[in-house]
Amino acid sequence: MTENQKLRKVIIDWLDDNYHFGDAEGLIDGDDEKSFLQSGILDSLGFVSLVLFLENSCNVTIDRARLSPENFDSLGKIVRFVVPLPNYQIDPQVFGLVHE
Amino acid sequence: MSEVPSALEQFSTAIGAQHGQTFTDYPSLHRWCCDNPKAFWAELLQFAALPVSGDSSPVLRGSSLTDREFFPNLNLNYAKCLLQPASTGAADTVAVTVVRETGDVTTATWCELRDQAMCMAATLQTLGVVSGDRVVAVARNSIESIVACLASTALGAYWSSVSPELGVSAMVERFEQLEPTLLFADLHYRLNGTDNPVDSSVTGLLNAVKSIRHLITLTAFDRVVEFKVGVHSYQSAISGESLSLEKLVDFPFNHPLFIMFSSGTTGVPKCIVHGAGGTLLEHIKEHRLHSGLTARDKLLFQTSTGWMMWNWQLSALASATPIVLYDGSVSFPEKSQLLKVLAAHNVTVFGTSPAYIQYLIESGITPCSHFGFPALRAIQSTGSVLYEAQFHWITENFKDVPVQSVSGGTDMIGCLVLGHPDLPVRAGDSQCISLGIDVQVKSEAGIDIQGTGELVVVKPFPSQPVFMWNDPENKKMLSSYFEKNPSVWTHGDQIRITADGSPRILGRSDGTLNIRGVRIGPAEILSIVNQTDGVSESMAIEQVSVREPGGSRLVLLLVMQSSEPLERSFVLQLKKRLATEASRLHVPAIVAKVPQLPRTHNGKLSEKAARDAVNRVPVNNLTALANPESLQEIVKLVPAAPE
Repeated sequence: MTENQKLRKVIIDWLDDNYHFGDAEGLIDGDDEKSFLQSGILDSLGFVSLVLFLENSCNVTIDRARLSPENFDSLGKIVRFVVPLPNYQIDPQVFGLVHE
Repeated sequence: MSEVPSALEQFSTAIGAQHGQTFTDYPSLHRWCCDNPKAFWAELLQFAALPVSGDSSPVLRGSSLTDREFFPNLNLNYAKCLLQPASTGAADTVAVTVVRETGDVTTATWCELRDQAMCMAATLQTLGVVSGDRVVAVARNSIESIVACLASTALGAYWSSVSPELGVSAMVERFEQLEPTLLFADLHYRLNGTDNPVDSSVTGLLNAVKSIRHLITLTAFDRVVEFKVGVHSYQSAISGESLSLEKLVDFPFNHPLFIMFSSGTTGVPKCIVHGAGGTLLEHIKEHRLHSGLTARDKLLFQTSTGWMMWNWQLSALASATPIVLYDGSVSFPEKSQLLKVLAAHNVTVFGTSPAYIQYLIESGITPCSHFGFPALRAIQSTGSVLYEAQFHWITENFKDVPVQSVSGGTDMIGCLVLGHPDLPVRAGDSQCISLGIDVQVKSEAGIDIQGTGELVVVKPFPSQPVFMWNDPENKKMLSSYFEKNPSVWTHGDQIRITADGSPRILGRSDGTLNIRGVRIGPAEILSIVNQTDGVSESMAIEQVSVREPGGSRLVLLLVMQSSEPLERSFVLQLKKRLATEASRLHVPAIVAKVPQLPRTHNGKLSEKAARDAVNRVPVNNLTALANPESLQEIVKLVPAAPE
């Protein structure tokens, strides 16, 4: 699995855990460029939580001034934005927030 | 201090002159009001200049918090009090503005509001609504919902409302207790660009609550839906005969007005009944004296019809203050949507929450760089603790106006600590204790006017609930507020009050959850979770997570019948049920399977110990626990909050 694929799965899991409870992949429906905002997959408050989650789980700092629909409004855009950030590394524990 | 003395300063001077007192500062005024409750509340009633009838004497019968009655011989009509400006020169000015996320704006002048409310009241009367009936609503923020409330209360009916986003189970759990006769309902609402139908929830509600005889739909709906009760449209309900505002019957000061809900760790939500006079007098004090609201202001408080701040904002009409309601997402279609509304409608006092402020911070939005907000003169915040850094952020990035952190709640439908027009703002603190409400601190050293500990109120106040629903022996009231510390009102908050009287709310002292600024009773979650196959028992607790909107996240601890690991599909299904049957806010951020929950030696679950464990703070009194090892397991299995 490539880093892009790994992060994609992490984001899908996060969407399921917090917003769509198993339906996220279906809502994206194979179109990774589908706008989260316009298709109702995530609202602006949800973006805030997603950014915090990505910072915490991928060891990155996300410059809020660079957040815009042009680079952060779809699964594909978010993956392409986050993976190249300095120090990017997925915390192995974040694959689902279920703990035993 | 401004050149013209504030209303609070004028009030202080007037009662000082009347009673031969000189108040050198706010604490001395406050102390006198607390020590002389009959004089103070009588003066406040006179200051409020409401259209009342009857006798204002005695002011107070009884002197204990559990046995008291304010103004037993006084009568008033809440709707008449709020619609007074319709009979003045301001009649044709705008009283209510509603802005939707689509950008649509609707307004109602004082006259229009009165006319619609009085027509609606006549319709309700025709439908058989009488004083003492319960009228309930599943309603958006709209002029229609305000008219519905005013019409119901004009007849002496008790009003109770929830937001359409609430799940049908949660609606039924609340309303079926009240046995209402009439339901107002929106059949859809719009959020984040999506139209969400509510007709199935309304159908479910009508099927479950058999006492409802009539439904009045608040907004047009593009589908034909069959309901089993008499259905009337809003338009038809305001198109017929009208009652006369002046001829409305006055009801006793303590006549029930609003029924609010509070959910604890067990059982169905408690129904808290608030009286018309106590509610109105408290609100007028907070609006006119503490917030300085006048007819020249425009108040927008970010709220839904399911939160007491909706009722609080509504009462601002009694101070002739126009209100602006917002309906929809605060961040759609633009991230700064709500800010645009504030600017476009010249809002002077903006009420918000730490959750919204944190959203702005984390989104990198700097309001002052986009908008001037020339009219804005104060920002109020409530719902959860507003941290010092958020105070500073507001004055530096929003507007350099007083930031007033206010706190109180559903239980007393108002504020215990709040703003002051003349005192300086100290970041992290509220400016003062609400005038005449004897808020004190209970600690191991006893009860005092300063210190750190449990927030208690030691003297009666008019906005105490008049009773709890279905509580003939007053047991629910006593167990809710007087069990922990008999003879004083225990509010459920931790507070610090400094020597100069500056209060700071530190958080909850009970098991109540506060998620994104919304108070949630764990029972609402656990009643769904514990019915799920495979779950032995569960506990819902709040983990402090400062950077999350609202400053915390919800953790669900599960003890399962099976020793197998939790399956992801099980967790997602459980979350989906919570979202559907309760609301999105009831969905935990973390679900953790634990071998056992912490219990005291007498077998009672200890939410506080579990909460301390997930927050990584030392657990006091470990010896009180029968199974202290459960806490280590929780620490191991529940991740710490992000820093």
